[in-house]
Amino acid sequence: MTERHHRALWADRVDFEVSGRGARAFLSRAAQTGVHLWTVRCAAEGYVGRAAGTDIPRLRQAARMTGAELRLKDRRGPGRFLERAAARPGLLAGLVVFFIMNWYFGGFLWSVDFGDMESARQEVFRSALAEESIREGCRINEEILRRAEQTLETKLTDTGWVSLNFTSGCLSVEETQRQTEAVQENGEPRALYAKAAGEVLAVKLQSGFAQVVPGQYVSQGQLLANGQKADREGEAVVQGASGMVWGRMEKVYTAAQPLQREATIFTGDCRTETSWQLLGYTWQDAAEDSSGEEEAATEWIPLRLGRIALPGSLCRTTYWKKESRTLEYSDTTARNLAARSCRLQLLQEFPDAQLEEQTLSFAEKDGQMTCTAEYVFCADMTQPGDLAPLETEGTTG
Amino acid sequence: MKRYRRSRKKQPERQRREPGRWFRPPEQEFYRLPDLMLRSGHVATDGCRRVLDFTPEKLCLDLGDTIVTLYGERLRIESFSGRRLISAGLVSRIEFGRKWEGKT
Repeated sequence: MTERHHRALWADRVDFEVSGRGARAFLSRAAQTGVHLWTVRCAAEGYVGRAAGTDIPRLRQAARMTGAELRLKDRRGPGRFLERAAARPGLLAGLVVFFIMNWYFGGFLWSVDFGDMESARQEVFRSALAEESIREGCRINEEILRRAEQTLETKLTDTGWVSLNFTSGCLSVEETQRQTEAVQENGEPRALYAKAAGEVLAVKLQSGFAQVVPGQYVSQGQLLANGQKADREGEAVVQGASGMVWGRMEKVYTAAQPLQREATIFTGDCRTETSWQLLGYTWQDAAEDSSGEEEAATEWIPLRLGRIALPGSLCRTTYWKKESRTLEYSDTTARNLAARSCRLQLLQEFPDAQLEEQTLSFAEKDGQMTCTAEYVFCADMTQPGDLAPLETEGTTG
Repeated sequence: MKRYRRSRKKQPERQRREPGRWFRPPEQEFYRLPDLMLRSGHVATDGCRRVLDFTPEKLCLDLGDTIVTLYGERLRIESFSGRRLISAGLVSRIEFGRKWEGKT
């Protein structure tokens, strides 16, 4: 026990009284073993003095060796536990350093927990968070989180509710998908007409009054369902027509595909910019010169040491260079592209079309491939229109 | 005009002639001599091996080859650790003696 340690434990002291034959030798023996005695005075039967509380074992040992009788009178100090802890100040210092480091480093973002979110969805969230400067290695507080939540709810329109919870260096991201529910519109006073000529296969009206039956052939623009009907008095009963009339139709589409086309395509060259973020500091590599049109792809890589997350991340942005070139299509490619254009026209007009037959014919003229496609397909053949006049007994005959 | 010279203190003739003495170690018993320091009523020593006697009027210390006895009133040991002892009280007399030859 050194004197420096005694000074550190000034609060821990014990008053003792030593008597007996070896009381005088006790003082010398205790001092030789490193005990610091102070205010030693003569008493009626021996000596009284004061020493550090941690030196009690050595005092007892000195008393045993010298044959003196030792009595501990009073003890004041922090207690046994704190005395032991103070005897090993490294533990206390380590504890204090641990809490300080836990508080300081806990404010940094170490890892992002996306839960069961799909990887594609994770990338969307990660890029959105990075735009708010939230990624591994940054320092986060409550204000940043709330602001990021509001921004994410605004940006991600397909998300119903976003929650960002930051606890002990881990950011938990939760979301709920926005649930859409179709609302039946109020029945507008309207009628349904045939979009194209064909055969009616099924009538599935939700409202209105059907004017056709399955198996009936209709022409383009023919009334399929009316939105009003006359009652017995001849007054109009209005009920807007809605629903579907499933029919088989035939249509011909034409599309032309040039054999040469100017297009912007990737050259295969790329350049990479890397930025590091660690403990709130950001380093960025020297940016290369950018020339021409480029398309950027960014990926965020959290820094890890094995399975241990580190408060840092690597942001790597790859710029793929593009340039304008003249593309020359082969006959086969041009035909396929022209046929695709025809199919797109069909799907644009009848989004739910189910193809039954198709006949494609191609003709090359003036540097372009022309495709004529004849489709036999089934689809909803209705298109809304104005109400048709009431059918009275006179008109129906 | 009278000129005055700065007076120079003459060094002992023997020391000037024997510069080899400058690097000699001290005498053999130099470090075993008692070391006492008096300061504001306290007597401190760095070489106390044992406390031979301790009463309010007398404090006898073993300082190696020398035995030092402090006489006075209300003597006490203010601090004692290792070989460093600080005593306090009203010291009226200090007596030195050789341990093996009796008091001188």
